[in-house]
Amino acid sequence: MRGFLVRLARRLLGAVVMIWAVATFTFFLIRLIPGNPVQAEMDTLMQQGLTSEQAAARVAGMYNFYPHDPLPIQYLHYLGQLAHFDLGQSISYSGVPVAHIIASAAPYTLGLVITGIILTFIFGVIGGVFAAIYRNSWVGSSVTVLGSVLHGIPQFMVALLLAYLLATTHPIFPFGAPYDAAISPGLTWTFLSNLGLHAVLPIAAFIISGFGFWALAMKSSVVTTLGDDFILASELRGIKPSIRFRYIARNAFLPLFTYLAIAIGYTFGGAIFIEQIFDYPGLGLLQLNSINVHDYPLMQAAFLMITVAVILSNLIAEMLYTVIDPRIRTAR
Amino acid sequence: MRGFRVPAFVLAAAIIGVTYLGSTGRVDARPVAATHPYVTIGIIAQGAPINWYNTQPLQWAGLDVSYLGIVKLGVSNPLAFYPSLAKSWKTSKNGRSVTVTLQPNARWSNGKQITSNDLISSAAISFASGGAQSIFLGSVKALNSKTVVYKMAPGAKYNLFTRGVLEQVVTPKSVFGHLLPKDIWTTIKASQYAGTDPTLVQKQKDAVTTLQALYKKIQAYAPAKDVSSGPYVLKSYNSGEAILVKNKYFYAASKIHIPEVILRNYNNDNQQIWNYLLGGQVYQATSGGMSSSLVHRIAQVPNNHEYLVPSTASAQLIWNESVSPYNKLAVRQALAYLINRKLVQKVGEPVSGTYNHWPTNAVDSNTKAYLSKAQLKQLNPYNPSPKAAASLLTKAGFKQSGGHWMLPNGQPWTVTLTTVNGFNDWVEAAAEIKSELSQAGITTEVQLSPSYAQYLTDLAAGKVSFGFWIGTGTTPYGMMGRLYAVPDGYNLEGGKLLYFPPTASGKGNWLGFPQSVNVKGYGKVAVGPLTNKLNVLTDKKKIRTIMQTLMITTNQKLPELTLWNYEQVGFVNDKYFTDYPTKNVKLMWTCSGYYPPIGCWQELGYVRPR
Amino acid sequence: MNTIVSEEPQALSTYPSAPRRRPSAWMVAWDVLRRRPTGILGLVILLFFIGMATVGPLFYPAELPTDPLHTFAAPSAAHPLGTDFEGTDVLALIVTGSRYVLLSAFLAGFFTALFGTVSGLISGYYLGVPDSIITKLADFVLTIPSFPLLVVLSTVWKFGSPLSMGLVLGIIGWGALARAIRSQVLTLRERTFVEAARGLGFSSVHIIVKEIFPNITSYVAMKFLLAVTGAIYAAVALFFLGVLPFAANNWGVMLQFAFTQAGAMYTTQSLLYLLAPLASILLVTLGVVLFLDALDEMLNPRLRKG
Repeated sequence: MRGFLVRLARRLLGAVVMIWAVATFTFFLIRLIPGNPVQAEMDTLMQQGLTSEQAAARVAGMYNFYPHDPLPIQYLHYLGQLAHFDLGQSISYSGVPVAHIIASAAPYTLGLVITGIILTFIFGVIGGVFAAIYRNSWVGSSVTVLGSVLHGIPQFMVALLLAYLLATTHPIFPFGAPYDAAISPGLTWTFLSNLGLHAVLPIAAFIISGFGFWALAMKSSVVTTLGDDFILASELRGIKPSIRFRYIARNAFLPLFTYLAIAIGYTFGGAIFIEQIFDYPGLGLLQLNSINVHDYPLMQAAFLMITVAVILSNLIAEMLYTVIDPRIRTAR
Repeated sequence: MRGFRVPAFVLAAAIIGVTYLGSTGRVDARPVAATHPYVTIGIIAQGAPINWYNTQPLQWAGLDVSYLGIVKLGVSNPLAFYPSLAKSWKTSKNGRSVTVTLQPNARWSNGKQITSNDLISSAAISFASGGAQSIFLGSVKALNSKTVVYKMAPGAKYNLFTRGVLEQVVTPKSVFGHLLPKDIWTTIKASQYAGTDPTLVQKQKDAVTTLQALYKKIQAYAPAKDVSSGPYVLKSYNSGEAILVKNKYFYAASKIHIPEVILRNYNNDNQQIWNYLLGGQVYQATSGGMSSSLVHRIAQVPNNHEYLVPSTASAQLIWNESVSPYNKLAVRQALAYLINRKLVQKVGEPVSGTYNHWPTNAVDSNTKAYLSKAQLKQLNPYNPSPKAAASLLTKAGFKQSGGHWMLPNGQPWTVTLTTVNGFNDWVEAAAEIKSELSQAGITTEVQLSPSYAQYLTDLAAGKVSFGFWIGTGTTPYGMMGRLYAVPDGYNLEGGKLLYFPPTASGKGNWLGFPQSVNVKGYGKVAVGPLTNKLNVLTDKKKIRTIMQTLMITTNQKLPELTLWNYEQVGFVNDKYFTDYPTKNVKLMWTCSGYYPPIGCWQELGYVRPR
Repeated sequence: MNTIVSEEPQALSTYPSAPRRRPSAWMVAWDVLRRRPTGILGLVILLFFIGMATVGPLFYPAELPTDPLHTFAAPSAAHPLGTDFEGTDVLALIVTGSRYVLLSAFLAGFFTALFGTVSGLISGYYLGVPDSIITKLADFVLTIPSFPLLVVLSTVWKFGSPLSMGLVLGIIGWGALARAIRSQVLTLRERTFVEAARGLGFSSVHIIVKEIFPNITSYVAMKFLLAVTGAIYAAVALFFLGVLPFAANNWGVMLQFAFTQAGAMYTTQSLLYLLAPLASILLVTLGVVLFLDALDEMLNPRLRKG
């Protein structure tokens, strides 16, 4: 136990250092992005039909929020803010605290994207196992083909197709909002069922577009495990197929762990198209929009979320790995 | 795993079934009101405050925010307004002061009267934001609870002061007043100091800093509720939908017949709008990037009707005349004769664009509005003519070798056309232009700028030799200044017009047009000072003459080549609502600056439920 | 090849009636393909596209003709797949675009797989200092935001050629694979056959290449495939970033334009402008998957009895 805690502490320290390194790199990287977004914003508004006075009034004051200190001073200021868990003020939202904006986006990411990933994982893994075990019959082949084809279709296409078929031409499901704005959020049945109904299409889009990846990944993992000695041995010993199945599954599952950890970490980059088309403005969309306007504090905070999430989930996966797979424990 | 599989599918099916049944089984779970809510498109900024001063406000002009007047868009009279919150206004003879009288029954959505206190506090905030300075506002004074006098800053010359005053947004003192310090007007006065006394100059600088810091605070402020001066007030919202209900205290509440407006968010993705239109789920929307078959398909949905709104925006090609060989008029004209603008428009903007006949730095409707019939006849439409192009190039010293045009110095000639990522119509137009020029023997490359922001920076730094530009402007100065003011090196600093050549870095002169040119029939024309006069003169005849001069100069000397005029394409649905103003082009144009226009349409007397 | 098979006693051989000598590689391959016709299908598809990419563009002029009066045309004798936004024949676009798309995608897949595998193997087997360096580097690469990185990179390096694009995508994408392979190697290195090899005195490199690597080829192959499809779509993003020179025949760009400019899904008019590049991408993906499956079985004899 003590050894475990020591390892954990060392790893945590390493994680913090890594987070700091990435945050620093990102800080300077995003300030290298060229362009003058304020002028661009004004021009785009004018192209939409606003008069130049209206457009100027709309972006007035934006310049004030871009800091003018020399870069190293800005960096130290940023570190100081981080130490106090202060994420700064947004530029594109004229001074609204970044934490507030991220907090309003987080429920969509956590709710939609994580649910989507978990469900996709489940379906994909099951599919992958079938594809591997029955790979010489048409069952396995069709799952493989299905997975490859679905993987090749871009996510925005799947989302649009679902929206078009099931919400526009045949309006079975609602589309365009996470829930009816007339219903106030709360732990009521009306709200929760409404939320669920609105979530069906985006989650379905998630599953359909993500199924291929996990199915193929699981398939290759199972295929690798199938080649192992102990499987052969268990066959020879006459162990029942269902138990053998369990052996295979547990072993094949392990490497997928790593991918799952990374994938969950990446949820904070979100599924941008699904967020955009179905109006679940999570961190992915936030990131994208903040880049266009050069909203540095918001960009930094959004990327920091991903960094922390990926590194932490990797850490957890690694610690769990040593717990689950005894073969590794003895190694170090 | 086997035992796992069955429950998973059953569970999923159960969840879907139960939620579906639980939400009354209908797509629209709301109880059906006696009158349908008006569903349309609006931008809902997730996480934004209900504060008009924020760059991304959770408010909508025409719905819960009103201006003093609604500007009648149409360049010939930039001072024409419909009354809105202001019932009447009077401009003094010398144009230096405007007296505005509010509607007597104008009230905020919380029942309180809209008074001159609100106008004064809004004006104070406008000084903090820089808006007041941009219209040369000097001082404000309340005459009584409903009347305010706006005076121009002494020494300033500006012929659109009245327009600036009437385009102001009025915000409630009850919401923002407490953010203003008690001595705000002293600070404002100090910031207006224009003399040379060093102590006072220092005080002026400090005052400006204080005002900027104050505006930052105001912008970030998040009021608890929506206090509206418009026909609707925000009731509830989420990231995809906003519900606004009628503001019964609106000054023209009797004209508002629709009790509820629902906004569907537009996430910068036209596909969302297309889906809504195809499903008949919104009753008004405009969209870009539609192909003609898509427009046709949408129009076939029952009760959908297409409409067109002209705009003053156009897509232009521009040259940096400080880069060889674009300094030669012959070269620019040759390219104009080789580019088939009709085909380019058909490829780039087949639906939301119309062919522009004459490059005059104005859309066709404005060209026809300012030029006489005789002058129009004299204009050069630059119809495609490979022969004219070849002859111009040969005269300029270009030679043909192996089917390719070579520069006079013998080097091969490569034209680099820069366009912008994200503006798909420009990208497609660039592809077509590349084909046309290549077929004529000019090697052409298309360069894509990663973002509009970067494109503008590169343009200002002189890195773009041949590129795109948005022509726009709803006032004479707005139109011509778009090309001949800052982009041509003419900056207004401290009230004086200064000129900076393209070589002056950081001053943004990327057009490089000669300071003085010889124009047939007009002699020597200096575009910079002439354009600047448009901002100052009040004599309509003089303005008209200047506009004619500039248009003809543009046509002859070709600093730009207009490819097409933009047009807004939209749809309205009359299943539940009728009396749309779609045939009244002037009114449609006026309300086209509002997203969405439904509030403006009603305020001006249109649209009612069936 | 996996050395264990050749050292197994005859009784466990997968060819009960086979003669004592090891079957040749070609016989094995043919055997596998015969029993798994999908492998042949995959091979055929790949050969078809490789042929298209190599030979196809030769049939068309360098500048494809445009026809602005017949944009988004319906299929006809002259244009079997219709036309695009400027009237160019869609079939011509697919064929001439295949070279760049396939080359850059395969190179990207190759580099991703290469960098990821090598670093995963080294860090997983050697542990210690190389491991911590590589893991930290992988984590770093994994977490830095790739989009702004590409934007900034594109200002200093125009990675327009297939080789540079493949390199860039490989540099950005190797992190996940490295970590996954590392965890696999951690497991494998403790297995008895590796211990046996070490006991027999084989060098580390030999062990890594001959003992461990063959057991992870499935992963690598799958990652290669995923990187290939990922690269096709990354190329679209890069195109719109201004990094790639404008090309109307890039399959991903065609897909994008079909949706945003032609309203392809909503009207039948420009459906082929959408389906042609999509089908091409899907067929390539399918071909790679099927072929890699068969290849896997050829290389990993234990799978053959299925």
